[in-house]
Amino acid sequence: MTKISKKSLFITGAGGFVGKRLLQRVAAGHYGNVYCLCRKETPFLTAVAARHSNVTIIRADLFEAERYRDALTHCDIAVHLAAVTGKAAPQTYTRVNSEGTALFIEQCKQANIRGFLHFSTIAVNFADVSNYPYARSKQAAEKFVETSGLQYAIVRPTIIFGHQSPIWQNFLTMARSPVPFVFGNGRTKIQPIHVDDLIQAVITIIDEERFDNAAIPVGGREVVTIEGLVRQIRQKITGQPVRSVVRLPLLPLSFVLRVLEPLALGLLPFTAGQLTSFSCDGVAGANSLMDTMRPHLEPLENMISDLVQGGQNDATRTDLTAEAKRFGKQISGVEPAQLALQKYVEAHLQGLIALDRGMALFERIIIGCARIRPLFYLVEAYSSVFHRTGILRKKIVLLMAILECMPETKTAYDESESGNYLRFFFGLLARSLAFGFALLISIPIFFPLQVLCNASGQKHMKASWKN
Amino acid sequence: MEKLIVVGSGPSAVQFTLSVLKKGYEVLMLDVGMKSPADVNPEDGFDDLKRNLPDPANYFLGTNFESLILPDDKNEYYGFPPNKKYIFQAPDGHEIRTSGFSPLFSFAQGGLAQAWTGAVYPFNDEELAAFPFSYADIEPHYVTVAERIGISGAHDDLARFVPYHSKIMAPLELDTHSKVLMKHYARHRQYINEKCKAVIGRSRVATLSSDLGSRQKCDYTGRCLWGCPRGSLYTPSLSLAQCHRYANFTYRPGVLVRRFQFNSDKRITHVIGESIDTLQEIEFPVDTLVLGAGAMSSSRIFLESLPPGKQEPVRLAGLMDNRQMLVPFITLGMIGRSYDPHSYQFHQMGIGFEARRPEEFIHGLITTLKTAMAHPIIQKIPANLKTAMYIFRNVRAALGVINLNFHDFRRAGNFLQLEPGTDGKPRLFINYSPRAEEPEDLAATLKKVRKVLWRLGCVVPPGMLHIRPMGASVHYAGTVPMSKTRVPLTVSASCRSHDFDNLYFVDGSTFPFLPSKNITFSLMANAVRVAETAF
Repeated sequence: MTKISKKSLFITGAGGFVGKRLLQRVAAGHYGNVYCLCRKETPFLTAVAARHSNVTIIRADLFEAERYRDALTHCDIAVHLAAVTGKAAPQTYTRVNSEGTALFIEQCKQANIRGFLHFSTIAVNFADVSNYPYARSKQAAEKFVETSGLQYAIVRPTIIFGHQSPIWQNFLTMARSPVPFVFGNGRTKIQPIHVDDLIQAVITIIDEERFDNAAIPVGGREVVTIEGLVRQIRQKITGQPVRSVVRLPLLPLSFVLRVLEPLALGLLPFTAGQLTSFSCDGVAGANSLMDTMRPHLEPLENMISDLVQGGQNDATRTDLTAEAKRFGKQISGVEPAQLALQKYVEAHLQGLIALDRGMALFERIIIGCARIRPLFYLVEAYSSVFHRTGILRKKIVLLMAILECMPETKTAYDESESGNYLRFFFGLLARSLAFGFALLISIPIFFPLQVLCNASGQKHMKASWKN
Repeated sequence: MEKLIVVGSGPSAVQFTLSVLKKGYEVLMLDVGMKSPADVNPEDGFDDLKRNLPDPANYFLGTNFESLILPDDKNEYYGFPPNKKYIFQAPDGHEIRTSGFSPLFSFAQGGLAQAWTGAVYPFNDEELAAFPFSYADIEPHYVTVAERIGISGAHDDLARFVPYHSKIMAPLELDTHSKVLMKHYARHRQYINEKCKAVIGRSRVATLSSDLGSRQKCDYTGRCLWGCPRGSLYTPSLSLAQCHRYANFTYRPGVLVRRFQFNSDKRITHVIGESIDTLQEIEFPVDTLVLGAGAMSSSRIFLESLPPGKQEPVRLAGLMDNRQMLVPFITLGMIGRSYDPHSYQFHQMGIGFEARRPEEFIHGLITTLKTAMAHPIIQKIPANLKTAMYIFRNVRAALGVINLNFHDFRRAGNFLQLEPGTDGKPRLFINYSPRAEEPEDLAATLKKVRKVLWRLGCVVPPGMLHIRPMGASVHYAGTVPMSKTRVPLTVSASCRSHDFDNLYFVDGSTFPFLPSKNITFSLMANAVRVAETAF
């Protein structure tokens, strides 16, 4: 039975992906005060606090207990979401996820917290976490919770989907690439859950005070293989059956990553530990909470449909904003103003310039390369001679037009060498040489690619005509 | 007093109306009348707009980026200002088909001249040879129009081709680039005049160098391209506002005139319009009908009203338009210098070339680049972005363009006729082929232009020449020409129809020849002439 009471909550990690959704629900809900612990105050948190008088933002680290201790004493329930996820050094995971949790538990004990909801991961159940420091840090954290003496509930979500979900973005990348791919054999089972369903599970635990000192695996409605999921996403994006999915072998990849991680962690796209999720099943299994919720959970197909269709704009906005920042710096030397970025995205969404998913293969390659800073100069030099009406040129011209209208960047079009011919001559000479050099390097790379892509495009068109 | 219905609110319609209103005629003006948006921040200069507007990209590029020019757009060097897009907004059901012609139509209050660049060049006697009157006959009307709209200019070498008349204000202040060009011209004048057979002088422009009534003189804020917020540059909507001050004037916007009805005596009895909101037909009884909707629209109304041809559809032959060639140039002495946006933005100089025959004189408007958008030009520079930007920044103050006009004459193969449209209503079909000798003329002129430019210290950058499509100049004329003899589908010297006694044409449709000059000034003067001599 749901107890309707004015519980006060203390939430750590309220600015994260899950934290934001939880805060949106509880801020508008039937709760007393809601204290949010965060390391930096984001526009989102500021806006929520401005709208809801019961929400208080506390800017502090988990380890700065003196800054939140007092607020904690006014709370009934603590929801501990704060954690380092994604790519980080093993010691960082340990410090924040394990030691930080231990310290926070101590503060909760002192504040006589009635219920402690710890946010963990399904990865703690993986058969082998020896190369997965994140999962190990979460295992250690769970140990601290179990031995704390607090009334607790440990939530172990499987992979969480939703707009702006980092893991969803990863799956999108695999499904959207010119040839879809997975890491490993693709047969690993997963059980994706929508973030809103996960939040509902958390709310249920809080409202019904299900602090039964147990771990609750929380997963979605269906179990699916990783390759099956990538195929479903790909099919939803393209509207066509997926012919093949490339399976990238895990072992050599994992080995290379392990060697490189200590040397260049910042440059790597992901870690060997993160790859563990592709070899270990991440399934929630049965439990009373999920059994009750299951009929109301979002079906996987709906989830994919919603995220692909509705989320495409979000992803596109994010991609285009990043692209505009990068290109803008090349054009005017400074990052474009917020309004300029908005206008750039707006023009794309109005259909003025094709979006990634509507581009021909060579265009996609060109744009992909241009988004990588060191390659921008090469690919732009090539486009300015051999692909003058291509999408990259269009994007750059669009951005140039927008920047020209903005007071912050208009000087890039106005300032001359003030009549100093010599300076102009040498300036022009230097730029022309650099352009010529870039052109020389780019031709052997991009010209064959352009020819190949055009030929394959024509072949494809001929095949379509025959059909 | 007789009741006149005037169709359209373009330059000739409003000048005609002003004259007849003064004479006491009762005038009902029927117009579609698309309205211009309000001016933004009238006190701001060009650069201030970028600083002060909440969304400057919206103003300069448009809400739907309609003024953005992308690399595969095969059009002009500049995007049409978004705040002027209302000029080309068409009502539902306006349909045309064309061959060899890209016409522009306007249904705006003030018509196409709301977007003109203010060039006012009277025709001389040679150019008026095919007209049933001489320069002396029309000169007083040029002067009347000059008094009304305000013209600035100078009595200089151009007067050889462009008659200089009274009521012309002192010229506008020259921008730095134009000063440099004029200095070079003074130095090489003899060579340019004698060897190149060309003259250069100050543009005659309908822009005030001193206050005129409530209109303020040009204050050089650099906003000409985007619409002068002070009314210094004349537009016909200013005269329309003057018409509203007369009690005998009624303006009825929201009506697209489709045709007129006439009785067995060939007298027009009613004008049939269509409400642009409800698409319902509306009848207007009429004593005298004056068509001033522009050559294309007036011709369409005329064609829709005529009984269908027995075998072939009725054709209005003799459509004319000026071919225009844009020749960009770089003034070497201006390279590396800073550009000044605080100056008059349109052409400040004019150029004229002698041709085989005096009436075929070639006229060009010399415009130095100042506040036009940069992105259409930068993308045309054959270099990568960084280099192109660097080049543009340093040659911006040195860039200019000559807009050359070429004469046209009436030919049977260039015509307008009606055909069934997709919605069942008649649509206009426009057919045009250029003169056979045109490519030769263009090439020969280009050679001369390059020669003159070289003397002026300028070069023509390769690959930037642009020959505008026919129809782009919007100097449409010749479909119902003035004729001394009473033949069908023509008008008299006073522009009264030879087919219907109570029908007058006061726009370009009556011109029997099209010299290489902007015709708006002559359209206005002719409309005043008709009002003064026939009413």
